[in-house]
Amino acid sequence: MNEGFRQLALASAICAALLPSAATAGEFDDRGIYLPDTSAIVFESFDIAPTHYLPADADLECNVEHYELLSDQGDALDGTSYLHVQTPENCPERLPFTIPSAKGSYRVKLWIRHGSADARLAVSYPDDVLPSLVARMAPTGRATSDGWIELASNELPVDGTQNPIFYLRFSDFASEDGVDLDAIEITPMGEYREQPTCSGASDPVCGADAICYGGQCRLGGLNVPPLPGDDIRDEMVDALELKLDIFFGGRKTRLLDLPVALETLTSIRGAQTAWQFWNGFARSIRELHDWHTRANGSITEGAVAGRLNACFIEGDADLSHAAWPQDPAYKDILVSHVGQGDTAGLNAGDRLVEVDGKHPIQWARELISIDWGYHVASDDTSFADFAEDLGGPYWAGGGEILKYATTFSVIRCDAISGTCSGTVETIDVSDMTVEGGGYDVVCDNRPSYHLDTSAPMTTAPGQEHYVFNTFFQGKVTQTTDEEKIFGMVFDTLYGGGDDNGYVNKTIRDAVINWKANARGVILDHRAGNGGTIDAPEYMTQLVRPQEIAAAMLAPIDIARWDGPETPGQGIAAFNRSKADQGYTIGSPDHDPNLPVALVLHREGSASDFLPHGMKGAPKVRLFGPGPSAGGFSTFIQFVYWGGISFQFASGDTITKNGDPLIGHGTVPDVIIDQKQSDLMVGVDTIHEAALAWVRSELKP
Amino acid sequence: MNKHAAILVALSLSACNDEVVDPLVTATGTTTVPPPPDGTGGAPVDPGPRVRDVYLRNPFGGPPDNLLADGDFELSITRNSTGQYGWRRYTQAGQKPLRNETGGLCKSGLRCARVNSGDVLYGTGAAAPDEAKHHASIWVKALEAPKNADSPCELAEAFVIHCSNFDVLDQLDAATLPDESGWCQFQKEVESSKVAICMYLQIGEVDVLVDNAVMLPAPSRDTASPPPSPAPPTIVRPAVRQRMAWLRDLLRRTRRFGAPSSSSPEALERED
Repeated sequence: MNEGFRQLALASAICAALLPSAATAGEFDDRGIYLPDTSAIVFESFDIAPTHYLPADADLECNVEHYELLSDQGDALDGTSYLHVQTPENCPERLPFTIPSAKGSYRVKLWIRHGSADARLAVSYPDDVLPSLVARMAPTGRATSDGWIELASNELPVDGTQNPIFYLRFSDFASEDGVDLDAIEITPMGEYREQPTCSGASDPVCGADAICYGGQCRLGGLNVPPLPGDDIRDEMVDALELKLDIFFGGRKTRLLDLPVALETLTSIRGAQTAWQFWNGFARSIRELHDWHTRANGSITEGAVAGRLNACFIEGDADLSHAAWPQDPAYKDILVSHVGQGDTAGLNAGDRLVEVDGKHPIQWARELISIDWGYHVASDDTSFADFAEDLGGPYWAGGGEILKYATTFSVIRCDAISGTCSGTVETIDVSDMTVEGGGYDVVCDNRPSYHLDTSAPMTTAPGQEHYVFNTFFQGKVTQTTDEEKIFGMVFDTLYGGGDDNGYVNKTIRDAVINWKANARGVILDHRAGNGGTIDAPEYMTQLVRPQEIAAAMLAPIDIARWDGPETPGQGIAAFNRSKADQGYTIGSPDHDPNLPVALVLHREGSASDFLPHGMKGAPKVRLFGPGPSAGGFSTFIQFVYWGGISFQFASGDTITKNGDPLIGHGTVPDVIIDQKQSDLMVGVDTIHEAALAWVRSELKP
Repeated sequence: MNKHAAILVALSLSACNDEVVDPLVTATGTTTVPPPPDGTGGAPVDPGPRVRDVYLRNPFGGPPDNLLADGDFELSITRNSTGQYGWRRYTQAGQKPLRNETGGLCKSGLRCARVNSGDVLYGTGAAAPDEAKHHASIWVKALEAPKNADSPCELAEAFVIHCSNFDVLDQLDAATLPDESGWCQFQKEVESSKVAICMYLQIGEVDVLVDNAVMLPAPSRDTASPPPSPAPPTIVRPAVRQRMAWLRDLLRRTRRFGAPSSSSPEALERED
């Protein structure tokens, strides 16, 4: 027990002995002198320099105290000294505290000044006898005239009988030269709660205000800021509501989705817990139903145990409809490709019929209430994002089944016999063995690649499907030298405004090469992650004359503008903004005779603009199973405290015909699904259709 | 002397008193001082000088209907990421993270921007509906002695611009003198716009704090009164205009049409 705490305990004892009721927690007297919480088990006032703690697995270079004690300062929050902390980016400071040897639950409050901080209350146990836990800290709203602001966590359960290491993890940022820290106060709050293993997103074993994530209960409160006090809660909700009302969205999302989100926001005014408030806020963001829009929180950070090393796509289960009919609302879900190890025995062409007793897309959509990683297309008819996220590694944004499902049901197929099982097999996620090894396969909606790496100057992704920010290109497989059919596989369109950067130069060089040497081109953009507008503009220079196809009124032009109500209003908006915010496609030097097939599956934002700019060109044809995401805007970002950040789409894109595009993905010219009968024998249905068309249209 | 010796007295006198000591107020930063405690049992005791005021402030900032996406600089502070936040800071080398000051050292809210001389701040906004004019305001405070003692508020040049092409709608007028806490207000009524409007702040020769930027629809003018004569075109210094053109082109080229980040910019490794 340090000196400060000893004296605080003494004061508490005096109070308890003399008066029937003690002072309220952590308040200021009428001179502005801080009065520590009399129920605190720890009050660190930095009379002396604190102890420094470094976990055994931490970088030894961090084993230096990144703080100094500043004394005799008249402006300490408490007394005459405080801690000044300045941490390198990857060396957070850790200050350990002693707590009672009993099961308990605690919250921490502290005060900082002159910058920002990532502050967390943490507990870990020797030999990992219990899961380590961390509670994030965020402002309560209290501030002082001399610059101090109060941060607090929600309650953190600790089993003090297990010799835990209990500490504050603290790092500064956005400061001139470090931040000041004072008056750390740890008080009992709530009751001890176990962190049991669990199964399925809504497993009641986790209790209230917790979710089951990857088979492990996670307490919601640890991952969100405190519940705003009654005095400022309405103000905070007002601020969020009006930010959305003023800035969010384009015509479709403002008219259809914004009202739903605002209704949810209104409901959190009456929240009883921090998790109800902040998860309600995050849910409202998810209800905006927009490809660019999401709320982030630490509830989904960190590794997920296990692996489902397989990827799923929407398709046509043409060999198994007798065993399990097609859903009236959703397409069939098929295994596109698998990785090495931990595949649950799945192979390309196998069919995922249910997750927890529901169609996989329906199941994924219902995660909106708890899944902070929920990602949805702006176009209401596009579900490719959901399918892509079902499998694959969590670190690439996938793994939804592994994170949230109890069971999933499949129909297995046999490539040799060319048949599928007549029965459905249900797999319990918790029963899946984890062998490890091999590689994690990434889900990019491509069953296979079709670039002939034996040909000169041809590159292709590996079996891991790690396309990411790389362009692969060259001669298309199973074509002749005389056909001169070239292909490109790419997911990014982040040109970043640099004409000579990797993305733009690769596209520009390829366009020059294709115009000179190709008789046909297949562009494979089946995991289109968008980027900046320059890249799709460059690509369209291959195929059509120059024109301004649309005006990008983003972020939103006028507060609360729901977009043009008539084509006439839309054309007026287009004309008003086309000079400064035009989407300029094509080039006078395009090649009108070169057939170009654009193969699509899941694409958003700049990757929406690409098919929009290609479609309608005389020798272009788009192939894919459905519309792109319809994310025709940019976005505004906001970062709060305690790991909370959010961003939402703002503005719309108006075509030269006056049509607002948000929520209306580009529909392929040829709508075609992957067939189960093809996948199981290694045939890529969509690519084959594109190749056949290019062959039929070869440039003379 | 250990500082807790001092608060023991306070705990005995105040913490043990069942009257809640709660000098909290909201948002404006003024402080309500509660009445002196009862029951001291004798002659008034000099409580000593006031140490500090305590406020309760909305961590999201205000006002809620601000036409600037993050006027109060509460939601644009990151560890090191440079995204499309409500406020963005630019040096000659490009976008840099904002740094901040805290609490009552700011004009409003919990955080404000701490900006170096020569930097540019760009604030995302939207035009008022119904072609209403705007009342635009922003506060700047010098962190060192102003270069021109005769013009202590000559700390920055603040403009309202069209976001898309950086056409200047108007330059805000700086106050002649700072207020009692050293803050200088820049403000003006700005014309209506049919396209988005943003705020552009060119910081002058000293480091400053910047806070409480507000753009609201201006009250509609009395239709019986004659319309005002057209405002003369705003004169923008060539150096500022050149910097504006550079930033306009940079923003056009780098505006993001891409996938959302799947983690918080503040996220570090999960330590559990």
